[in-house]
Amino acid sequence: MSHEKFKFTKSHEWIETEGDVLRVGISEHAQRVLGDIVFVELPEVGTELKKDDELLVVESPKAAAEVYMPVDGEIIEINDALDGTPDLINSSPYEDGWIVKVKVSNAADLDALMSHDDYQKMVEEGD
Amino acid sequence: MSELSTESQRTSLYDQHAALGARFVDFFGWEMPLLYEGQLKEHEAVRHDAGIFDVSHMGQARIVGKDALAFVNWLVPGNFSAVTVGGAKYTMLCNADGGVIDDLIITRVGESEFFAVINASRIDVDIAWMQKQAEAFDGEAEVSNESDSWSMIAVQGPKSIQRLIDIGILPGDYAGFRPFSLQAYQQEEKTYLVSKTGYTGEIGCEILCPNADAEYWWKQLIENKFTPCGLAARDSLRLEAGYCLYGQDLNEDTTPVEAGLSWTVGWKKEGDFLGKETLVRQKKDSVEKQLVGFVSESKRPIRPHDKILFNDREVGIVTSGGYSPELKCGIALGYVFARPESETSEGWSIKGKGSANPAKLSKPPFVSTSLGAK
Repeated sequence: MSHEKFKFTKSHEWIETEGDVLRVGISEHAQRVLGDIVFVELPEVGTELKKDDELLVVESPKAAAEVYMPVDGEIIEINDALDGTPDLINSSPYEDGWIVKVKVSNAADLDALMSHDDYQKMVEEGD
Repeated sequence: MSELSTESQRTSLYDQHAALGARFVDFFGWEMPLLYEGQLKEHEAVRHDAGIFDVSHMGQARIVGKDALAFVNWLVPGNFSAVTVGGAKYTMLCNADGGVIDDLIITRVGESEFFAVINASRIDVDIAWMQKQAEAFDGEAEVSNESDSWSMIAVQGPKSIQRLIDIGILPGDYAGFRPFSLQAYQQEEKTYLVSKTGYTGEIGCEILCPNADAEYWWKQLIENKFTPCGLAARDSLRLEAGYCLYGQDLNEDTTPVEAGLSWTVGWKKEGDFLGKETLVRQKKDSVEKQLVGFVSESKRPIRPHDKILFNDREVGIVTSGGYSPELKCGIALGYVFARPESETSEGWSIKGKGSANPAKLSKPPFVSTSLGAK
């Protein structure tokens, strides 16, 4: 689906729902503010985290930014390509630059997330 | 991005940067381009082609008087006695304890006239300091602030000089001119100065002109395919080259000897100079801290204030941390306080947020460049 159908968080993560599996990454706005991403340390498959826990950190030469779990869940897949080419997050934040896939344990968490339009409004109004 | 105050200053090239789609950042009260197309792309352009930087925010001062040479030799550790007109030195303004007030380049532009280029973050401090020293000096020397009169564009990269020659900004034999030399030229009745200096480690020069002419030169350079580069690339380039940044690697509590800049001190210079006693003592005995370089085994950027460990013991702190686009790993400059017995390059690690990453002690420059040999 187009990223316009994704859900978003206040902390700039996007979520694409595929049943009870979520594909997660960071937004176009977030990658632009961060700059060239040169390092990503992916979490381990199997890790169980709660909503708002720190998922990982993405790093550019100028800054490091935390990426947060959007829901309670378990990491079932990580995007290994980011080890060698972390800049996929810059060039393709919604597709090839996806970061983790999560099996959501509490589906109700998804309701609290923003629509793409609401996220865009939030960005335009300034963080 | 940090807040931009309503009192932010802009250079004469602001509109040019905006037209090129620059993202701006506050730099000590100046609204400067952080990047245009991206830090890594700009960094690469300078390492392999030619890039330009608006450095008009930097300051300039003129020192004039019949005792100007003696004054300059008192003011800075560098020895200007043998510097002929048109020649320059990289040196420091030191306080009485040898602490660095600023690093700067001073050019001898006349028998009794000198021209200094100083850091944007230190203009007010430097001018006040130099004028105070001139007043107390037993001799005739006056310091005037010309920072508002000059714009400056740095042109850097292995292809930079040839391209400037091809478009008629530099004479055909420029490549053979001595480093740090300064010349004045004219084009279309516009006078400009060219200093064979830079902050990237690549060959190139810095063009100084009146503010009214800045757009004229910048547009010509853009039209001739010089890549516009912002402060982000400027920082990663200078760090790869091992150059200090005032405020990070240099400050008033650090001497040139501690910062690995002993080579800038005129040890054989006749007469006293500010900070001499401390510097001579440090050279003779030892220093309590020393600036060293590191190359990480990890791709993770190193950050200022990361801890330097030797055999897991904390022995120092990172002052300039970053990422080398050429080496594709973290690099850093930092101060080591307790020198371990062995000067081995092994056994070091750097700890930021998270676990420590092994790093090799590495004498900068960290990469080979068109200017130096590695």
